[in-house]
Amino acid sequence: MTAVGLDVPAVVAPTAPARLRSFVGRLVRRPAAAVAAAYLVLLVLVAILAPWIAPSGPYEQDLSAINQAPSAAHWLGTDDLGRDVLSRLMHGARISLASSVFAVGAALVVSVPVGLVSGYVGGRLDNVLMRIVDGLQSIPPLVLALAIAGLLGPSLRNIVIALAVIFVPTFVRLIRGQVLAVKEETYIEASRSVGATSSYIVRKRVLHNIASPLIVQASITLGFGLLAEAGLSFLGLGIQPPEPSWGVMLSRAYDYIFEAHWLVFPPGVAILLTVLAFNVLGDGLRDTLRGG
Amino acid sequence: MTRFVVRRLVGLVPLLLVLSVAVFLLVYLIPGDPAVTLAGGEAATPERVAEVREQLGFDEPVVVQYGEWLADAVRLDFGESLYTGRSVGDELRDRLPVTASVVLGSVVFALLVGIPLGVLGGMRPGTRTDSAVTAAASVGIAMPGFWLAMILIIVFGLELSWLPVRGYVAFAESPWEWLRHLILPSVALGTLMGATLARQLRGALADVLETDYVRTARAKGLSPVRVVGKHAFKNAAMPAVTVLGLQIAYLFGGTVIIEQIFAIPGVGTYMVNAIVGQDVPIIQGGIMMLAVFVVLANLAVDLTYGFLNPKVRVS
Amino acid sequence: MGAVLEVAGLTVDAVGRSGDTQTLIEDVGFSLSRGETLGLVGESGSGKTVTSLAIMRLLARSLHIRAGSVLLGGSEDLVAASDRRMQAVRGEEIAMIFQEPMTSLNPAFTVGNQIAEAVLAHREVSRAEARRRAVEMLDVVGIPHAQQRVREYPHAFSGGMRQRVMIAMALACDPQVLIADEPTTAVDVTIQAQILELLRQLQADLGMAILFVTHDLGVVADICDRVCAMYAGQVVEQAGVDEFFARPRHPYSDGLLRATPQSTGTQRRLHIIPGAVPTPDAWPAGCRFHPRCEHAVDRCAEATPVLEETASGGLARCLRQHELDLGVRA
Repeated sequence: MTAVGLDVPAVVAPTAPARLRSFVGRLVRRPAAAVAAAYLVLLVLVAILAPWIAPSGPYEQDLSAINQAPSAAHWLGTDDLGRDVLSRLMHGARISLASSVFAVGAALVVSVPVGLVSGYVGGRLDNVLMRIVDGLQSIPPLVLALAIAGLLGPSLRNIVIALAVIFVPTFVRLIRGQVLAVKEETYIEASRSVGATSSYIVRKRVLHNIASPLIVQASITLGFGLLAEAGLSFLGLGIQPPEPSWGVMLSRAYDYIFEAHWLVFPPGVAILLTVLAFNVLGDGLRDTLRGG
Repeated sequence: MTRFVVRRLVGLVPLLLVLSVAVFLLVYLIPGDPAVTLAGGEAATPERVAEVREQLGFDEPVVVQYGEWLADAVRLDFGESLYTGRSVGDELRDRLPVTASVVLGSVVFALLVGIPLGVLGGMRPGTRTDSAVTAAASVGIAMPGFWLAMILIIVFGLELSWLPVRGYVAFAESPWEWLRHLILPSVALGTLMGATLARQLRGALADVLETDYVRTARAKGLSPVRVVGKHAFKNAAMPAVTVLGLQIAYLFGGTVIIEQIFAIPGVGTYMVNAIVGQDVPIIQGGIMMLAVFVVLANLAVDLTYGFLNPKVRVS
Repeated sequence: MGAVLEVAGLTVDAVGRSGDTQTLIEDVGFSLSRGETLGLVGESGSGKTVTSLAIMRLLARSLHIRAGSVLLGGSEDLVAASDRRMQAVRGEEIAMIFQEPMTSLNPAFTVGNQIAEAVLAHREVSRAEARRRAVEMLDVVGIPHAQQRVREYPHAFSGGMRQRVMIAMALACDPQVLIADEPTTAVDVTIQAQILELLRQLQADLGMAILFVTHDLGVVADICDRVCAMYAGQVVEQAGVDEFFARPRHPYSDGLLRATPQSTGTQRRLHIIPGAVPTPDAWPAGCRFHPRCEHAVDRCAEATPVLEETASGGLARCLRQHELDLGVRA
């Protein structure tokens, strides 16, 4: 888009914090995105503060009160070992969010350089990298993540690796596409003609242009990561019990689906709302960045 | 058109080669000496370790191993299970119709739900109906399929007892039972695709209805049904079809969990058990086969795209 | 001869999300006789396209006709017609061609299909007959090898050829009125001349009335019999084409004329009307043109001019029309 190109050489470039403030200002004027962002901030706070604010510990059992429906003592009831579901949900937020955040982070660390090089260098290297990306993208992502996690052995670290592998192709493709688009922009030509080195151009201009779509994609991928973690843990190839993650809790709830239906709802609703929040935030970011 | 298809098919060869290398190398993800791990860990007898090593060809250089594996794989021979000794190819063949049924059911459900919702929203952008469609689609996209499966089991299986919640009946055995057993899994698996389709179609249709050629169609005196059904829909279908293509990979991935939940003896269940047991030949064979299906499905989407957009056929 | 199309008092409002309304065109009126071509002229934003879409009842959902009538054949008011009746009118009685030949045809269907469906929508004919009509029409609008080309998709046609296809489609059912909304704006000059020639010839053969919407007075001089100039949602002048060019009665018409390069005659500097057409929310009080008018006096900002008969039998909306001596000075 030419509009992007015209934005960059602003005569008086606002300072970074000022830009951020005005951006956040425009974002929160979208009610849906604002609610999503507020929910996510709250969730992160709960996750961080879980050890201090949860009604009880995540492993505290009370075998005299198992599979209880929600009550004043246990707002979301108790599970098959008499553990407080609300407390496990709060602690589970830590692990579920962490695995998704780390996976997206790891995927970005790999994708950004690969995508930049592929797009900027082009030629045969680009061809080879793109075939690999094509190949990875034709394996159903969940199956690939399962296989990787299964072969490496289930653990938080390995889930992060498995999820990162399935995220990388999308990010690489996105970054490469942006680099190719930006390469065509005339202002790149302009800075080349005044003798700027190519690595300088990549750093300054290209990074500036890929940031927006990358942030949007990252937000949506965080939601997908949460879903994938839950899926992996549900099948026993992710977080291992008794550690609480939302997927582990759902898996446990499924085992007791005949005895205690309601156990299915707290972790499921938590996943649904959080994924929804990431997606809505991603859409809001996209619309805001597009300049609405 | 034939040349177009042939060219696309030939184009798949390098992709499939890259895929096969990736799938083959998966075994090296196993920490330590894979042969020892796969033979049962440190406690394994040296004979068993040697047996596994030989079966998987670990005693040869990697390139030779890959060559042999690929030569067998193109004949659909993926070796035998490390534990049961059964042929992986045979087992996949037996289970494929089951998984195909689930995937088919899901696509049908996705189309049945996604198209009407997308059209409903796209025809009147900005209205309350449209907002409702958009909201429903957003929830459908964020909904974990296996959680939805559990809710369906609770509501339709346990509370209402309308539909079976476990197992699978072959079509040849009883078409009616086949259908009944597929309904809940298809809904659980197809919701994501249906929601994505509704969202895409809604957006595309809203855009297309603004175009000059739709105005031309109205200026000709065509009825609203023909304007939307013929002129707008065919063009709006293009982006929607593209999205369906991308979704197919997720659909095949989703079968793994959905089959597990509904105890359906398909490729997914087979894969999960193999992954849990690190049964390498099954993992390799299963992934390879699923990937080939995804590639072929994407090809089908490409061809559909060529049908929808006459320009693609020419270039 | 009676008018085939008579527009009177046509007023269109835009309704905002919060229910606020904004008038886009106001009290627009003109009439069109059989075999006649009326040029509807004005800068972009003057309301020409809204007027033509309102006649067809093809306005965007957020726009609605508040008042006025569009009489077809002297008796039937299209503003009050049912949606079903309008479907029958469109294409059959009144057809329309548009500015952008590149985007006005559906890329996903062959041109033959798109012409034939117009026939099928209005005539009780078989597909094969509709198809034959499509070939015939392509031939009529001068597309060579019509028999083959009828099977091709729009992307195989050039811009000028696509506009011919549009004309073929519009005239396939022999409409009484053709509304041509800037049909030559997006094509280059030689093509433009060919399209105009084609329209003129088709009109001579078929006898339909043409409402020719354009901002290009050169085109108007070429093809129109009468001119109706619009400014800021109002008709400001109506006159026969010779009279309009020789002696415009409204300073806006005069400004437009002096802003048009002449292919013949003496060289002179092109005039530029200062400023731009105000948006509907910024229409000034008094005469809407007065802030841009070089002849404006104090009362132009206060008194609202009405359409009045001119000395030569046309209509003009100017307080000073009898005082001013406008027209191209050599």
